[in-house]
Amino acid sequence: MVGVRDSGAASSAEVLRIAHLFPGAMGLYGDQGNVLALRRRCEWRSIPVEVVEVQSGDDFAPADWDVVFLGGGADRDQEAVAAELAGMRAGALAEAVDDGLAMLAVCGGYQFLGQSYRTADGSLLDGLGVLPVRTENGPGRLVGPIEVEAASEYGGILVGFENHGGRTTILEGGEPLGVVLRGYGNNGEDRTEGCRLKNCFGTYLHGPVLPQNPGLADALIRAALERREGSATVELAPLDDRLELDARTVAANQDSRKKSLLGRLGLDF
Amino acid sequence: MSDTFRTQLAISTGRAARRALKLIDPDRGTNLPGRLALGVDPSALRAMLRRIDGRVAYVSGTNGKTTTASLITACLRGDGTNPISNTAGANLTTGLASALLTAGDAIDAALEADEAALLKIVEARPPEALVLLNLSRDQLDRYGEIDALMTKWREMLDGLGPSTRLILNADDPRVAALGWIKSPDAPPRTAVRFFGLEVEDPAPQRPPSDASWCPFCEEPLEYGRTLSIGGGDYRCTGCGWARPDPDYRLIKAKSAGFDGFELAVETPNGMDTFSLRLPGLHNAANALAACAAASELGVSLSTVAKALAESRTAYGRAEPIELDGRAVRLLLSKNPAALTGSLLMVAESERLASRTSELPPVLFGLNDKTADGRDVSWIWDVDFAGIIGAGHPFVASGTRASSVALRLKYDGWPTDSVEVEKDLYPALRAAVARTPRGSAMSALLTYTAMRELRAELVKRQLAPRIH
Repeated sequence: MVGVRDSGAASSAEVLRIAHLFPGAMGLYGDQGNVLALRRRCEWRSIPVEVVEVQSGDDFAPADWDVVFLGGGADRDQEAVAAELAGMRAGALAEAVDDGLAMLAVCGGYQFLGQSYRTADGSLLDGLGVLPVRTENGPGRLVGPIEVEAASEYGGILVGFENHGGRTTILEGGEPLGVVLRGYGNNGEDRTEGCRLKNCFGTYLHGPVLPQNPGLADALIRAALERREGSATVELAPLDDRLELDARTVAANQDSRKKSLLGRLGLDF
Repeated sequence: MSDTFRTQLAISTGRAARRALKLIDPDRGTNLPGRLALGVDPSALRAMLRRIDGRVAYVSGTNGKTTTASLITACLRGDGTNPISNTAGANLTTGLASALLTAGDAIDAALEADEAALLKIVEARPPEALVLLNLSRDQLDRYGEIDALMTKWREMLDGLGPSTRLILNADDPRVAALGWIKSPDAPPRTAVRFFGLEVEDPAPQRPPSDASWCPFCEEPLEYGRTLSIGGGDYRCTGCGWARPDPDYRLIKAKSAGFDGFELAVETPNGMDTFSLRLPGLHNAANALAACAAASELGVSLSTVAKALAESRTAYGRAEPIELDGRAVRLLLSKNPAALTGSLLMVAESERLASRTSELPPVLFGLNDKTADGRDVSWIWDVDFAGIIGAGHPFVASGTRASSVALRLKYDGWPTDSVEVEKDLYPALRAAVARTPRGSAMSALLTYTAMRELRAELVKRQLAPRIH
């Protein structure tokens, strides 16, 4: 494991430990920005924080962490990591999530946390069984800007960009992260997006999702602090999020049509 | 070969449209005439390509297509022919068709092709030289993932005859692997020539995460030397496959910042040194690729060296423009590798300049239109702070200016050190106003941001027209 400089002890409180799983292989679409968002939003509040990159072959015990992040990767990288993750005490991760571990998994990482994934050639791959979802590869990719309405405690309106071939279905007992207002979400049919189980979130939103949806970032930090301190409510100091909300507004207004009329005529200069 | 009536009609329609567009605006006409011609007859592209009976080079890859194709064009010109080229970066089938409409009786061609368009033109007319530069993440919403593209390229190469020389980048494992037919147990394809950099790279290095797995056995690659522009000297920890020895090597690259390099190349035809007036190590690599292609097309090394030394930057590729007594560099920066390359150039030139006054700002114009890739999350894969230092004066612009400002905030920029101005031309004026007189500033731009800003500069007679 490679320690990524912690922010120095601004208070005597215990350090919030964030594990970034397989940043190399599972790091497509700028998803490392999610980890940066968590780290900065702790630092800006003088919450001591440490980010550790967990690499292939490292010993990873889910219970030792406050927040765990898993991104998505290219198909081939993802397969390599699948084998690794399967051997990685999937049971221990499910237990930690049941115990309230704060976790975010995006796109391919989200699919991994589910029960299973059916590939394009029809074979069925086991997931980690942490989230009650199932994914099947579908025809074509679901690509474009996406807007989701989540509960206000998870940031309310969430905005991002999705790009996935998998169609995910929430199984009994599962709860979506939000309702799709625009875009495809889990499968392009039932208007659900993502899945939440306790403090574990799976989502298809890139962007990356956390910097431009600070409410969701803070929900993860709050959940981690509450779990560690065993307290029911932790109040986070407010931050100046004007830039975050500006970026979110612009992203929300991105044209979802594949091509403008001018674009169709070859004049989309 | 005689064309069908439909093909002839397609070509005349395209040519008429091109003439008409030129009357309205001389900078137009890089796509629409070809689109009209292909609308009348989709096979017109094939017919026009097959008319070229001289030497043809195609260039593709994620970055460096425009520059490399224009350098090959310069070499062929130096060799006494007048090749067809599409050097305005119009590299989809419509842009290629537009360029070919102007062909006249040219016998040679040096064409750049988008990664997908390449498949079509290679099938229509196999080239004498096929240059594959590099593969990295670029607009995943348009192209899908790199591995899928590689599979298609491999099938394309398997269908080529021995008359096509393959010019492959030894430093990029995914491109180099295309030099073998199935597995590295057998020798490489007979028609392959590798080019590679064998110079020290002083810029900050980062692990080449885009190319970390062996393309043959999928075990991790182990890197010795790595390059700031991606790739390097690798060996597979599983099957032992390693970077091939290049036939064309860059053995010296002494940087003079934005003024370019002193280069030395070693080739099967001997060694030569020359100055290259294009900045950035990626351009030194492009020059080496062009040298390999032109040499394989029969151009002598001395002609190649002279042509490369006389070449200037292509449209919007480190193109210098003067504004209010300050030099402005327009740098096309459309994906993580290209943006990293641009920032490295800025850092390098600032390191070389003995500076007493304040640093000029960097402008980054990020658009999210179709041609840019609508997903802008890739900017989070670029290490802004690591390359130019957090807090470096900055102007964020383009349709996604606020996303740029947000990226910088999380990379450690104090919010008040980033000026946000969505409109590109006012943003450029603001950046120039903060640049000391006699200094140079850089404007990093995605594809449509470049077109938009350049068109505005042309309108105000601040930049030359393309043609």
